[in-house]
Amino acid sequence: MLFVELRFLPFFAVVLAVHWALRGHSARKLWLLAASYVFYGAWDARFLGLIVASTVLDGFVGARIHAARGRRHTQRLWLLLSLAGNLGVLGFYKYWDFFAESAAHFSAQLGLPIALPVLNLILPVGISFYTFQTLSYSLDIYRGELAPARSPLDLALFVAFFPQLVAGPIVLAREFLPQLYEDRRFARDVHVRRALVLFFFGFVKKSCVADQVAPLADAVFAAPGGVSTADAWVGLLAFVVQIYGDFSGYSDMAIACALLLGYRLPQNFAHPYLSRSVGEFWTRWHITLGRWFRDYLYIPLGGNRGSALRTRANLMLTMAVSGLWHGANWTMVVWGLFHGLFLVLERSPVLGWITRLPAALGAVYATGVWALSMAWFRATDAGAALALSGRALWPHATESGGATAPAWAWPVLLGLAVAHVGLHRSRFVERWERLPATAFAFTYGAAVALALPWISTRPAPYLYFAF
Amino acid sequence: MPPLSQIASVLLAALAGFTLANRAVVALRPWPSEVGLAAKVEHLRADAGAYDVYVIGSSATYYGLRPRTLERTLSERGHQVRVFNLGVGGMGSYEQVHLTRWLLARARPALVCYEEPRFDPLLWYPEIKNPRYVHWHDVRTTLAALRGLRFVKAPPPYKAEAYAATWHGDWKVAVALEHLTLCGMQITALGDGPRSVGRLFGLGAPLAPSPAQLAAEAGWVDIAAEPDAGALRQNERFRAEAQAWDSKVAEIRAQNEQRVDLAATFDLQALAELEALFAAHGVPVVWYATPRATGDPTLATLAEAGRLRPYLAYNRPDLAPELFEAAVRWDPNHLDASGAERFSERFGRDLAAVLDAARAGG
Repeated sequence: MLFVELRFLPFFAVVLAVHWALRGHSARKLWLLAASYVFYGAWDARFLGLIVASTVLDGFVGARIHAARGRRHTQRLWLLLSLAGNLGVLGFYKYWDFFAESAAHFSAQLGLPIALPVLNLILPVGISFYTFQTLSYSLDIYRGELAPARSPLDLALFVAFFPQLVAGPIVLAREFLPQLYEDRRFARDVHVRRALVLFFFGFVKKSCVADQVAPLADAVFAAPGGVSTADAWVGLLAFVVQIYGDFSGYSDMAIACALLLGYRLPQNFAHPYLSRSVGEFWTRWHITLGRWFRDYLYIPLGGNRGSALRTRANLMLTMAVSGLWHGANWTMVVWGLFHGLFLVLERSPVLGWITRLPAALGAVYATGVWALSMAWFRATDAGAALALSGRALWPHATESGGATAPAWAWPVLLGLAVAHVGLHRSRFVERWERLPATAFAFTYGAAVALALPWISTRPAPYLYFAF
Repeated sequence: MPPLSQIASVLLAALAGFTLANRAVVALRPWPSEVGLAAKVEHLRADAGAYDVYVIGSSATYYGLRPRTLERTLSERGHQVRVFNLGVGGMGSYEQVHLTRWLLARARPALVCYEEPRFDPLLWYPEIKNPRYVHWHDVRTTLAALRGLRFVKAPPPYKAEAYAATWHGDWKVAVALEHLTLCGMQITALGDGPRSVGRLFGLGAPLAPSPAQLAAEAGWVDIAAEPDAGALRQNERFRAEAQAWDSKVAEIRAQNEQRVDLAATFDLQALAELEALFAAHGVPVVWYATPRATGDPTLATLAEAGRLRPYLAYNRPDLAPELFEAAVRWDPNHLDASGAERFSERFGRDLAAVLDAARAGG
């Protein structure tokens, strides 16, 4: 079930109405858990078992780790069980074929061919997201920063809470469980206007922007070797717009739905395309994933506490793993390393000066790097990524069979950039929220009517559901 | 909880904002450009009153009835009229009703010739969510189409499997949901933004036929002049299977001999409403059937029952054999330019007789 699907509206209306009609706190949580399982089951009920298994495993392991306080070795063994269980399932479903194909390739290169079966498994939707959430639970208990959930129901709802179940934001147990311990009160916990505005903008970003520009990117990525330099940039920038609209739109809608239910989810995007550097970009893009890698990988590796060389190695490793999280493909690893390289260079005299550029130039640089990296992010193989990068970086004319961007592509992309900056600078969202109730309702109704004609009648699938 | 009055005022304000903006958006929406529709509407929007007689129907009318020939034939018989061909390729039953309503709201012609009132609510394009289908799904026409669904006995064969695979498995429910979806899209202008902005900035493909073509031939187009790929394929197939045409003609004759139970198969109320629409605008109507490659027992039964009056039946090889010669056809359902000339002359003569009779009858 998608937030932008028609069937989501009645589903959410029923969930919302029953949630607030119920009196008992536990009854509400039970209701939300049932709704979450229905929501996920609408995708593929077969994989509900994985979510339940992950919940049971971490519930058990979390309790054992907590019970073994003072016995670090025992705690470590229990944590290893959690890591093995969660990462084992994730690895099997997401990375088995990648591993088998890579092993076959490299072993053949070495003259010692190994043939591992390629299983063509279906990737359970959201597995990368909820696996990281459950891991955060065990890891935080291990680090002494969290007590086990007070009840299995709380833990199950933390793992399966449907607004963020399939594509984040990646919520940490320590920020969500306390909300589950306290009864939700509509007047205190629900900011209706903020939720409505967030949902509206999320919807617009996905259905009216991302889906509308998707064909521009599709055309270029379908035949990257034949496009002109200008059209290569149209394709890359269209994908930059698409992936932001798609993912941040989903996050906005997730946060809005949760807010209407009385729960707060963390911010996932903070206008990343206004960042002045790649380093800043990664503090504003998919914030909850960056936070996860920082807290559970980069810092445990030593972070920036060691030598400069060690810090750079930690950064590169973290970004490579981040790339692999996004997709089981070597192009994704290159994509991660590409960003890691810029993060390292920005900490050195080579590119350190760039962080002192005026804001506009910095944004052009950071977004340009991001756009170039999209060649690796989206391309199916290294050849296609190199071809598109080459067309973008060195002057080329359109070749026979190459896509040609329509005349409206550049004005539309520039218009979207202006709108992006304008909405941020004018603090439009905050102003809109503060209008008197009747004026807010009038403008909201008008905004919906103005947005509907821009909904794409050929919606593209959510990009991040593939992760 | 806020008081009910506050909730009501907020909801009303949202509805008012939605409605105002929606009306503005809908006003900007252009007509769909498919097969002559937008071009003809734009032409008539400028001066719908320039014509006395409209022939309105499908591609069989679009390519088959030449207004200049009709005018000449009528003129030779003492009727000085200006004729416009409002035929549109692929015109559906309810789209035709919708277009007629649009026309009568803007012009008061002396006569409308209306092709084959069938009231068939089945949607036959593979991709039904196209601007053209959305366009005619206003609430009134959608409700009429839903009512018409009662008289349909079976789904279109090529969609039956898809309908059976729906969660409810009921093809009538599936068709009804299709109509309701299109109606929702029509009301909200869903997905129409790019077309509307394209129109504002003069983007998109130029209208076809061109304004000059429309003015010169008053809406008629020679099917061989700029045939699309589909029309070319039909023509090639027809030429390749020319020997089968005689047996096809015999089949048409047989179909025309059959009769149906009108009350069970035809939405008589829809016909009465269409007649009432013409009557309300004081516009006389002549019903006609084109020389297409299928007989029509329903129209034959209606005509026999006196429900279509006056009715000019050109789907009958026994009455209009000259229109069923393979030499004057582009494909089974369309006449070429020479066939259009024949059809128009014949239609003009018959129409003159109808007008003479009407004049004589006062």
